[in-house]
Amino acid sequence: MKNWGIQARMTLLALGPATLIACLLAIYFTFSRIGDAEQALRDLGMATAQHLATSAEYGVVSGNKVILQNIVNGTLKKGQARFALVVDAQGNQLAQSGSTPQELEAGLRIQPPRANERDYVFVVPVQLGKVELQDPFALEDTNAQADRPLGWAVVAMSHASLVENKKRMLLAGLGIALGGLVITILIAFSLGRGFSRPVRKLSQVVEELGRGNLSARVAPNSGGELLLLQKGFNRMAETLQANQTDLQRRIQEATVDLEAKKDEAEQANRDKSNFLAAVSHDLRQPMHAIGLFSATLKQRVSTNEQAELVQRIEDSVNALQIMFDELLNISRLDSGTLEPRLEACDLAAILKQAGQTFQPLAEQKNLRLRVRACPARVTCDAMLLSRIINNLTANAIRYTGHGGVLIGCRRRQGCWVIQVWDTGIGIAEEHLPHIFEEYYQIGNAARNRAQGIGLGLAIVQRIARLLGYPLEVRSRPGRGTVFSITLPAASDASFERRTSVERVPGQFNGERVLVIDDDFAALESTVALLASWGLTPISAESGEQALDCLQNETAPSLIVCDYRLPHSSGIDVVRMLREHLEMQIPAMLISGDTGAEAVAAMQASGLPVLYKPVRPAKLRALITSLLR
Amino acid sequence: MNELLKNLRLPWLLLLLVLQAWPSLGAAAPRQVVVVLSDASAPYQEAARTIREGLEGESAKLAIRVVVVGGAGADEAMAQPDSLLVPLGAKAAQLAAKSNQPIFAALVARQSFEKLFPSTRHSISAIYLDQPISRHLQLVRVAQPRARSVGVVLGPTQSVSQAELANAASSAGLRLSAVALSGDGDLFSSLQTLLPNVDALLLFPDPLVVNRSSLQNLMLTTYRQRVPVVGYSQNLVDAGALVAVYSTPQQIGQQVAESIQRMLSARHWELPPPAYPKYFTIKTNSSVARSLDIEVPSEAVLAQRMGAGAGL
Repeated sequence: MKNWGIQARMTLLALGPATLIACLLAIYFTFSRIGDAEQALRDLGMATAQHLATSAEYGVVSGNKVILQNIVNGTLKKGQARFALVVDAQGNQLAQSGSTPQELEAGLRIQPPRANERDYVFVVPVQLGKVELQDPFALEDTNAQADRPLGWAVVAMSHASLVENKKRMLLAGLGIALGGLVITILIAFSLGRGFSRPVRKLSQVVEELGRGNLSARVAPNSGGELLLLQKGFNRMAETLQANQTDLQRRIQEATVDLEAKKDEAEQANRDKSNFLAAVSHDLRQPMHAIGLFSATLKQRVSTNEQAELVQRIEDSVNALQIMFDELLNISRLDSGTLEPRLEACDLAAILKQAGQTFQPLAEQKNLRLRVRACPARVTCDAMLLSRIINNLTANAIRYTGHGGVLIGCRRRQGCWVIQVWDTGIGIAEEHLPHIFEEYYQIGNAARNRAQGIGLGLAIVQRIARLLGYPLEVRSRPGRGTVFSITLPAASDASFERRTSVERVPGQFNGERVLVIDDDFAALESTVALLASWGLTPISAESGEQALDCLQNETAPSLIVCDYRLPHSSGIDVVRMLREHLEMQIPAMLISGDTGAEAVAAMQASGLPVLYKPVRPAKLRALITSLLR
Repeated sequence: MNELLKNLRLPWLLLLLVLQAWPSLGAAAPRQVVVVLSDASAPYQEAARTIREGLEGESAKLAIRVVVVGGAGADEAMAQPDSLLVPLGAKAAQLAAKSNQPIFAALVARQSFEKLFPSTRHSISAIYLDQPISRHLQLVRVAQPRARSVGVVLGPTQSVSQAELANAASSAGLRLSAVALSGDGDLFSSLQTLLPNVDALLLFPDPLVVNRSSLQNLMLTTYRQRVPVVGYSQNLVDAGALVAVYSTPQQIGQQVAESIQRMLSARHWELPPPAYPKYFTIKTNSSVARSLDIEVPSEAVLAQRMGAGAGL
């Protein structure tokens, strides 16, 4: 019953009591009518008998059978009596009409007849009518005599008509009950439908609203409370829709605002990147040339005094180059073009390399630099990892006045944690959230360039984020700082022992190297440096010029090509030359362009790239490996 | 019932028809008897048969003819000389009254006869249909010995006089309560006042008292008061009277025959004076007696006490 619908409930509500009442009423009235009919028959029988008795009074007293017969015949003719008869006090039949049963005729002599199963038999004594005696002096009670019956009037009423009547009444009662039920059912159904249909419709619309169709409405076609409900519901839906529309409009406005702001921010970022790229490229060219020239110069000076001057120049150039490298790195990381190459690395080798690199610097500041390497293998991009460690180490040395720096590693829960400890000035707590921001330097308001340009930690954080390795920092101001980075351990199987790339300066035997650069200073400086290393450089300002130079000459052993050339890229020129010479000549690119597109294109070409300003050592190492 | 009422009315109808009759009487003894029937109904036929049978012994001296009023040969027979007309019933008497023959009427009520023949002459006589009043009262006396009073309802036609009644009653040792009816409607109210004070109700022919519509109610009223009715005809007994005294057509016929025989045998031919019937019959209704719980002697005992001639 719990799951019944409204219609079923209403039908039950209407039908239950109605059925009960209809049945009870039908039963009650039918039986009461049957009772009435029975009573009526009895009354009629009794009345007929009494009438007969009264009418027969004269006939019985006078013994006039003719009159009695007439009366009895009349009684039978008028009423529904089956038979009627009059007997005298001794039971002798005086008059009879209708079919009197034999046993009744016999029984009459002994005692007044009783009802048999077919008939109601009414027996009324025939008595003389009583007359009030007007004589107050009468001593005898003559009334006593009057009570003695003179005879009996017998009337039998047939059951048959009553039975017929009963049947008719039962049928009528049944018919009325059924009719009432049918009408009730019809009314209940129509009422139920009138109520449940709008409710069902309403629930459908509610469901549609729930699905998000806020324009769904109910047709207000009912009456009474249902109409109020429908109207109220529609008002609610309209309010809901209006609210929704308003909300959407606001969201749209906010979204438009946000997009505008995002566009602005992106534009600003792009502008910054473009600026950086442009600046670094434009500054690189002269820096590149200065570096290469100073390297060449260093090999040519003879006196100590000159050598010192050249050395100073070289130091300045180096510092400048480091700064450029950092700028370059950050712009590459920002451009998102760097894809880490994860492989199993020998952690100990990387740490030792860092130690070796920074040992001279530490010694200069009278610091103890110690490396606690462990024979661990980690999954990482070796180049990026060593840059992290180098930057952290550089940072530690920079901010440590006395004491020392420790590079160590330890195992923690299946991972390797690399830590760089120092005994430096430490970082105040309020600065900790900002130390990874670009150009953020504590206590360097004057921006002393000897302390770097403040990109080291920013680069570290970007790389760690790129690799997905957690980076932590703990510090106690005045006592020191420790940076930690956690790396997953690599399985032994994936570890492939690699010899550390140790680039010992190679000896060249006058190999021919084709150098292509549209910037004259860069071209000249490169050619001069390569020549000083014992190579035979061929210079060209473009691909076409290079082809001309190579006319009737043997192919070069190496191509060193600038990326950005007047009409085409270095990649195209290398390809063109290789096709022209019909051989895979080793080639490398030198680029001052750190734009995202350029970096991506160069990575895609598979050619080794050096970014301007190229440090001579790096150039020599790469050339050595390419020529080997 | 219908038969009964018809018979009761008969005298009155006859009365009207014979008003103009005029009797005559011859001095010589008649040679023939012409019996005139008012109609051919059974009572007249019965009476006529009894007369003829009673006169069979005189057939040498006396011829007997029986005619019916309006029938074939009636007028011719009545006109023959030396005839004695014996009209039976009022209608026949009325017709006979027009002739001058001697008339010896029968089956005619005394009142009717006296109206038909106001001036009595020797050649006209009758045997009345009704019984003498004393006989009625005597019947009350013998049938209800304990009765002390008797009631009578008298109609305006006054077939019996109240004085006669009073005399007869006192001689029978009964107190008479008589009520005279003036109109149609007061029969039952008169009965209501009369019946409680009487021990028996005596009925006399009177269309206002005894008629088709009143009879049953009259009887019922008396039953309810338990007052026995003493009637004057068999029909009344059948209709519910306890007892009645009357003469049958045979008894009257016998008396007529005997009277004629006596005249013939007498030296001097002379009609006897009008007389009440000599022979009579007592009839009781045992059903009524039983119903009303009244003790009534048997008819034979009653007749004996009344000193009735057995007749036929």
